[in-house]
Amino acid sequence: MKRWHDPRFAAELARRVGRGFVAATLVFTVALPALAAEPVALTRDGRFKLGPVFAGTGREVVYAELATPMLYRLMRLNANDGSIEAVHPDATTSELDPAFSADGKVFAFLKTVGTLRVNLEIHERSGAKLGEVPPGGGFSGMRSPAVSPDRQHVVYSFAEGGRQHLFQVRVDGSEKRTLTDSRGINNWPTYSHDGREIVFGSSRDGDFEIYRMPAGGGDAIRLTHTAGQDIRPKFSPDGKRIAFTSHRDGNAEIYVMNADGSSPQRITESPDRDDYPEWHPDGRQLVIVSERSGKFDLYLVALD
Amino acid sequence: MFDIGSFRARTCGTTGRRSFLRLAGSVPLALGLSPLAAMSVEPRRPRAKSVIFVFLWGAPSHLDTCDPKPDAPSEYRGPFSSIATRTPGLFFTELLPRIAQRSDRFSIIRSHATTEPGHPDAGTAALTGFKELPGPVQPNFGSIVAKHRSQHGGLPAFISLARGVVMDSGRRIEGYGGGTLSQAYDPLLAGCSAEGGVDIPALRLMDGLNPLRVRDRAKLVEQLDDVPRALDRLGFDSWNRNFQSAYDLLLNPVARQAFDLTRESEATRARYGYTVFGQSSLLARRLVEAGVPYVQLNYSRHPEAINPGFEFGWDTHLYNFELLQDQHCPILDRAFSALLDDLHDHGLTDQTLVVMMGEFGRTPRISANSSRDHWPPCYFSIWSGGGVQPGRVIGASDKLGEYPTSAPIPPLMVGTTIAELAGLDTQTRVEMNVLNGGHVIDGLL
Repeated sequence: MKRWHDPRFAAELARRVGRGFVAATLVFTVALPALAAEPVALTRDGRFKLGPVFAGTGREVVYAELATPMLYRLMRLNANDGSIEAVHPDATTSELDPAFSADGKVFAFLKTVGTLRVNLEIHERSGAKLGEVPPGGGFSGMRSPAVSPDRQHVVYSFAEGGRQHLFQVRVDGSEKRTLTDSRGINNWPTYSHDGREIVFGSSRDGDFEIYRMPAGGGDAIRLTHTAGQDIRPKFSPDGKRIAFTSHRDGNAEIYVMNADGSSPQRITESPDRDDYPEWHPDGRQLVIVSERSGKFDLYLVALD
Repeated sequence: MFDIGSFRARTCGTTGRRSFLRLAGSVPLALGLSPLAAMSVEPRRPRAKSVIFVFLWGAPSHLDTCDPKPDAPSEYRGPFSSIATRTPGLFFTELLPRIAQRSDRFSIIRSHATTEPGHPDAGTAALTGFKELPGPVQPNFGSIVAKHRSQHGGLPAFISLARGVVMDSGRRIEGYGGGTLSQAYDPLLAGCSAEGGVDIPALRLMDGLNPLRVRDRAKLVEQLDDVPRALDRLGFDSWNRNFQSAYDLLLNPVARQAFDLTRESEATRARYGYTVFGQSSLLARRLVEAGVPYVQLNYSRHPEAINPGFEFGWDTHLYNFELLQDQHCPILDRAFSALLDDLHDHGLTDQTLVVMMGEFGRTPRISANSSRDHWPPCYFSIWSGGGVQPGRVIGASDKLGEYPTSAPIPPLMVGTTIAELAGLDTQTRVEMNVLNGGHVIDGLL
């Protein structure tokens, strides 16, 4: 699965990744040995980062960055030239948890609208607002939106009544439906490639484990059974595999398993935190956030 | 608990009746010792040359960090697994694996309680040992130590690492500084960026000045007519003291080197992590190494914000579990474990007391927001070095983490113990009229 010590790694990586990322990796790895057997750094600024996602194609990665001690900002990494720019340069309140439809045409994210009050915003890629889901009363906010492949729905996590459920709305913010009814916290939902299923993390059975269920709600199947957090699952573009973060070996590392939960394999191996896996649209690579060397940067990880 | 070893016979005659009674009251009669017998004990040398008080402002959830309740019902327990530490029978949550692996270097108290439910009031209690009201506000533990010690090599005796006076959205912690000891013992404030750049607001006010241009303090004052106004904007009452401290630094390049994190290796800086708290923790180590007696290392204001739209550290009314697993605990785990290691590597552990705690705990029962709110009746602290016996677990909370099952340990005992270890024995405290009525936390020593 992982080939950190394979001397052909760099050449193979260059062959596999899209043209854009070849350019990006060339920009960022000129100082690395030609046969570097480590994840490839895509950013170098070291600032605290959360939740990278591809914006439809393999050419753009959008993520949240702690731009100032008081402000999360959505950033866009252009893989063609390695440039990084703010998605909303004029934003004055925090924005985080970006999510795109598979074709990149619908964009959801969270936006702070007051003290401990966080909105779910749903936009067209052009910027036009399609809908929103405002927070409830008092301290309130959503987490972890995901856009369905057909661009008709958005699923997200929201806490009320002491439990944290998954909800689904249409992209205009209407027709809110509860998808889960369990104890604990349900979070990090993402759709399968065909939009029929959702994979998510839940503490319903104790600590965080990975589950899958029909996209419209229903019985959930537990996919992991380990001590320690199993969180942030993401279906691969073909729906056959799931990448996720697990603490089963003592710290946060990236794993990939089959969609039925079988054959989990560790992808990263670092004493530092590796987290937030996101599949490249080609299904052969992951982008992650890694805390290597005490800094928080995006890295590209190639898979067999 | 009892500090009979701290009385000094030579001061008996100077002890007033009221304070004498206070002293006598702290003597364990069960031991059969008269107050006079106790006072004949030789003075105790300070075991801690320096103190680093790691203030987890905002108040971390004890259940989700250092006092997990894996057998509690799901509406209390939270989603995190428990992991073993190096201390037999002591478990933390999985969010603090590095600190857990260093538990043989510290002791933990799990039976703290405070009476104050709001941040500024509880903050004052946590930092002074006393309620904010009725006034006057008592001095910060750091101010007490600072008065007892003197400046060292041009460095202030009390430095608080934060971006301005620590405050919540409404107001500051009144117990941030000198209190009844006067503003002369307020801390010098210094902020640190995630990249390790240090900002001293009082020094910033002197931009454009240097020792060659400024021959004496009076002249400097003349040139800075707007300094008081500027300091007021920053939230200082005590511009004179901060101004003087900054002035001392301005004139002392050697002292200023203590603030220069670029003198550390890349490996060392990486161990702490390139976060505000991480680099601030490294700065704290450099400051105590340079001889600063007391450093208050604040987790916020504002190291790593945030609840979106809000900031003060561990106050996780919203997104408690996400914030702990994504930000606060990984940042703390890395930085605090690096601090313990680094102090050890520099031979500073024995002479440096490290205390880490918040101003209260958080509700054991998970809130409607799937988070945790304020919980004054039960919280924890961690103590390392400076004369503390490591590997101990002092006090305990009940099965839900709601209340201590042993005698609650209030903030006044925290301050008294810090002062005792820093060399302020009972008589000295009486003479200074500070920490009155406080007892040392017996089990730590």
